[in-house]
Amino acid sequence: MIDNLKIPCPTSECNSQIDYNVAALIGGASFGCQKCSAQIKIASSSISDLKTTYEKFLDLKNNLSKK
Amino acid sequence: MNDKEDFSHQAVLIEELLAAPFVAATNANSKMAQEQAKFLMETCFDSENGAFSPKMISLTVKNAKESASDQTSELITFQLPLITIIPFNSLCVKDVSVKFDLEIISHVNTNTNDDENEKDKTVMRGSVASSNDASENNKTQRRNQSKMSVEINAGSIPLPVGLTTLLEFYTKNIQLKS
Ligand SMILES: [Zn+2]
Repeated sequence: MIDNLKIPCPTSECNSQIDYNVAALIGGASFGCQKCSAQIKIASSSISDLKTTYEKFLDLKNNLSKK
Repeated sequence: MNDKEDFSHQAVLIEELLAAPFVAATNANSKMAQEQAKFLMETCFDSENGAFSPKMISLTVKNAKESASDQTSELITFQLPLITIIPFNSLCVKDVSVKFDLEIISHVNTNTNDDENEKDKTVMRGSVASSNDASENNKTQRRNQSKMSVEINAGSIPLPVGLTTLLEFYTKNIQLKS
């Protein structure tokens, strides 16, 4: 699934990666680091921005695949 | 006009016929790259006086161990560029597969030199073959022509180096300031 991505763990000196899914992130899900147990989640103030951009991105992808 | 003359004007150099799908794929990729760049600049960056700065979104992080014992532990909010969250890697052409039959219409040896040591140069002309269920009454189907099956597969196309560098730069710098 293309939405499954990795982001570097923000905890200092952890150097691990956190798996996340964009759609679930927008839905308010938390994603945990396997190494240090830190959990990331989108801040409620940014949900709208991410949702809008992601929807535009999906539109672009659909339009390009049709061409 | 006999059948041969009537048909030969449709013939194209075989090299041109084979190159056509690649040209189409290249054009599609070029269009995709342009649209992707436009999307990036419009949705992931803010422009001010000709300078672009990345749009940021906020995420919160909490340590699960701390939060288990201390329900009131505060969440730490950090910001990261929007561009690092969107799965841009998926905006690439994965495979191009083209399969068609070629009808070799003419086959001309262009070597006019009498020197036997010189290799023959052959120019082949052809066209995309009609489907097998074409009417049997069609004169072209009854021609004594060679057919060739062509299958072209192109691999995945990576992101432009500039964009990869930008994404790497941003993602490598995601760290909380302690
Ligand atoms: Zn970690």
